[in-house]
Amino acid sequence: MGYANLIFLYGFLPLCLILYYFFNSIFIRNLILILFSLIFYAWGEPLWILILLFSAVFNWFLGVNAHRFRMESLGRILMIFAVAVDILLLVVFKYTGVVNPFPLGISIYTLQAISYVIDCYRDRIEPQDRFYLFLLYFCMFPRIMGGPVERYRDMESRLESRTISASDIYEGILRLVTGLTKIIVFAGHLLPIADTFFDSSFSGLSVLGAWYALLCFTLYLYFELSGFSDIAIGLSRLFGFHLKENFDHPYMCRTITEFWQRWYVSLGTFFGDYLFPSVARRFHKSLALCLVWVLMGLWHTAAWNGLLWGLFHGLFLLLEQLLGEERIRRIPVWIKHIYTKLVILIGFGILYFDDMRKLGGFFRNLFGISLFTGSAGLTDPAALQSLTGSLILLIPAIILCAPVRKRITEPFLNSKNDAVYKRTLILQMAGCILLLAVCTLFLADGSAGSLLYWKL
Amino acid sequence: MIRHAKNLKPSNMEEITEPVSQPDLTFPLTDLPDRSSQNRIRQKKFHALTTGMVLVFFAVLLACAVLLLVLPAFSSLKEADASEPSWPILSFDEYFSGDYAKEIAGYYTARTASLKGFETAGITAGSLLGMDALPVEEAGEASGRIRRSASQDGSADQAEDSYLDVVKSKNYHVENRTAYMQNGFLMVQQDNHWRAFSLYTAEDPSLYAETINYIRQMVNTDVNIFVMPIPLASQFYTPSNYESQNTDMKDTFRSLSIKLISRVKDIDLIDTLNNHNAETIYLRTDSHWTSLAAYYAARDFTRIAGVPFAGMEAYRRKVRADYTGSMYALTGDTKLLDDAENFVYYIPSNGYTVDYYDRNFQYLFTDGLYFNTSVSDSYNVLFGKDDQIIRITTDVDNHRKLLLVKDSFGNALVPFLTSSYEEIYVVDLRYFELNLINFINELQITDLLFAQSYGTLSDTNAELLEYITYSNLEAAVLDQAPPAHPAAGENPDLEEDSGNYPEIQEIKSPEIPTEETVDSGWNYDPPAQDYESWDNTGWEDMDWQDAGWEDIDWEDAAGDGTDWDPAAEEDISEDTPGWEETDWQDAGWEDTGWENPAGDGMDWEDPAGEDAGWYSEDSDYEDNSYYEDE
Repeated sequence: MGYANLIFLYGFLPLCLILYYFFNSIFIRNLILILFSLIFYAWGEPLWILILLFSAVFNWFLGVNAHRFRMESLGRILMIFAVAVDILLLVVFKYTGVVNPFPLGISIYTLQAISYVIDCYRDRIEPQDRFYLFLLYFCMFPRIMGGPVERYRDMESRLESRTISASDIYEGILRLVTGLTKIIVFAGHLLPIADTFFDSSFSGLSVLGAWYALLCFTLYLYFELSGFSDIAIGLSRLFGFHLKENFDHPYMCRTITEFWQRWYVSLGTFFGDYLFPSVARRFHKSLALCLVWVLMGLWHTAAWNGLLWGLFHGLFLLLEQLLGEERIRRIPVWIKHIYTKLVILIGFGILYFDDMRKLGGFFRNLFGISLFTGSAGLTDPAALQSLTGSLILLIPAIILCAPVRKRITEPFLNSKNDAVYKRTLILQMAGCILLLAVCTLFLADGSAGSLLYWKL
Repeated sequence: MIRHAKNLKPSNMEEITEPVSQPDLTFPLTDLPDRSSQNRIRQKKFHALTTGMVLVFFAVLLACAVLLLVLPAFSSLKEADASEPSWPILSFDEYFSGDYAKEIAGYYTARTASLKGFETAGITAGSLLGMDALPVEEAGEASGRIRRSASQDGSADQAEDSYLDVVKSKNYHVENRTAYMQNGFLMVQQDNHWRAFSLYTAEDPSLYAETINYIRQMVNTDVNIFVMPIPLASQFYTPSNYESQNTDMKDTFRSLSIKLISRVKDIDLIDTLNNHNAETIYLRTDSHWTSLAAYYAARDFTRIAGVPFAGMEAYRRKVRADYTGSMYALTGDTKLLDDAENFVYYIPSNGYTVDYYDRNFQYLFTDGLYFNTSVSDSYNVLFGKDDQIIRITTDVDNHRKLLLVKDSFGNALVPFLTSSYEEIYVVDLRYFELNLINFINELQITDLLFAQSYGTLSDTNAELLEYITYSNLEAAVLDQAPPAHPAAGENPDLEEDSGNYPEIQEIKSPEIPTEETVDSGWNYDPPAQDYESWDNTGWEDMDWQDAGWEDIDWEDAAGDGTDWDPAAEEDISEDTPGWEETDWQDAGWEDTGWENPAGDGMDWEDPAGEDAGWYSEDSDYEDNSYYEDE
């Protein structure tokens, strides 16, 4: 089951919320959440729930013991063993192609498991001695599909005691509907455009068509992944959990370093905390950086082009490190924006094509090499027609890459005038209901394209 | 971050050092609301309002949940042509594969989509977002942009179309054209050519879908099942002034799609073919589609099935001129006869062998795909006839085995699938006498494709499908054909080529048969029961129009199928029936030793004089004295 479907929105979620709010006891609420999370996970993949449960039991048990024996070598062995098994599970189920498609959310809960065991061993957290609370953290349905990769220590305090205010629920609703709109209205309609042009023979794809399709794909990826994060944050707020932000308008960045501070933040901090130090201790830091980013790329997609994409970004990160902050600060902002947008766009082009030949063809069209061979032009009628027809989608999509909503609503929410504040609250909620109706129409019609194209 | 665990002995502890310089992975602020005290006070002040709005939202959510569940039960609130989707049947396999859950979700979505105005509103909203501006929309998949030009003969190596023309062609309801009804068929003039076809009336595919759903449950879960109804010409060529009499096949497809369970993949060809409707995708003088249309359909199918597909460059194109199909006989309209068309077909270049079986799966013989039929019977150039089961073994090595359950439209697909599957079984729904489920299970079919035309998804044909699904359970399925292992490129249909195969070969037929000449031999198509009385091992392929005389004991010295080499004794055996019926159109009598300068086969002149006395006005075949003289 995904979030963007009717049976989740109008069946699963209302039922879960009714039961959750009906009971006051935190223990029963936790059990309800666990039960619904397992139903959610098992909905489309009943067999893979066994992998999830195995991973939960295994990591919980080893976390407890790694912490108990942390002063002895056994603790370290248990920690390494747990991490190795987790990585093996991830590699076998996601990267070897033995299972296709791979189990939902395996990338998310595997990283969570690794962070938990390592934190237990390093005594950063007290291991959870009640398995059901650990299971709640491990498989909570708001996060299982698209993240964020939440650390146990960030959720620990709210597992056994949490309060939910009306504002929490209000903000949760806003985030939930924002996320749904991003996925259904934007991502679901941008991807077919990219697919339409990228799936054609490249001998006909014009330069304009290539850039247009690339732009659509870049926007799609942002809206899809950030949409899932918004849904996770929104749903979690409904249940009293406060998750950290995962996307902070990454396309507003001025350097690639800044891009990775804004794009899938929880993943970046995970790699920064758990992987980079170990690798940097053993290798030269430049090599370590590239290595970590290669793994970052592979995490995004289980194909060789993920490796290439990670390496591509790693090289630019290295370049910026070599240049140094001072020199970068002196570069005009407009040049930095052009540079970062080009790197991001071209990088996502690499991420799209897992076929070397098609990737080569894509680059030929993108950089106009096909102009010289005469196999394609600068523009073509199909691209022009599609571009003009989809401006109503593209322009808002580009605008929403900036923190527009916050900039628009903040002055009203911070206004000293109570009437303005009230009206803003009401209008926001009215907008939510309208957007929910639009999303419902698209879901019922099936015109939202293929959702969760990007499986993590 | 540096943190040292407390109370640890240094020897047991690995010091956690400050990470070496790395990208700063902290991140700036979030969208969380401002936690300033002013806002906290405000939130408390407006707690009631916030609570109220939250309750409103939840009330709307719950109301929608209830309404979407309940409203579809009222038929007055549903679209006129909406059908009631059926609750999925629970099965062990389907539950554990996850398909059952998906079917429930699909059921719920289908019920919602059936509400009046819902789908239209969604489509309108999609149009506003520019979805209509996409150049192509094919069968649920991402589309390609290569177009064929609007050439009459559908040649595949033309320049690309203008995309704008393609976009315009999405509107398949053409403007008013010269059209009239003739014997219940619509005659339409388009671009100075006449076309005839029947208008399509709505049909209920419920029984068809139910039967296929049942098949889905009874065969191995690994079997991929596809349903690909083939559109008729009326979908694309009905002028506006006759639209009201023609049902949109999309409605039927939608109805079928809703009824099929999710583990049966439906393939919509209507948009695909519509994008090529400026090309020759339907015969004008026949009810069938062309090989070019079948090529596009096969391309869609193989893409969805995940099997290889050979592009047009892998086929040899053949053209038969002056073709007039069945519509001439049905309408009686001489405009079709005067406006004959080219019949184009394509021969694959990869290797295959073709085994033919009767309706009870008894092996008959091995041959190629193509038969040298008369021009008027060009649609049967493939297979010769429909009432046999066919097995094609190819040089593809992917362990995929296709069973194609088809009507006459499905024939044209087969050549384009020979590069996609290792084995292909072709079964005509009308002539199959075994149990279909047993057939699939015993032969270990991996892919099952139902390719029948619209108009055959209900009534008799649906009942036929039901019959072969539920009946004859005891009928044994045993493939007694010799094992075939064709080498790459070993192709019986290209064997006669010298290697310098002309790109276009025109095969002109004798004159189109009239009633008087129907039994003259070449066009003789005796009814089936006659075959059994013929004492000739080769004749069991049943049709005088079967060519390849060379493959039924007649030695063919010239290699063109029509030579009679009486050196093989049976060629001139008077016991061989039908001699008197054959029309000896001088097919190479010169290689039998009979001089025949007149060239008409029946007039034996003897300029050489060596058989003096031989010349006779009688048939001479009875003049055995000649042989005695020799």
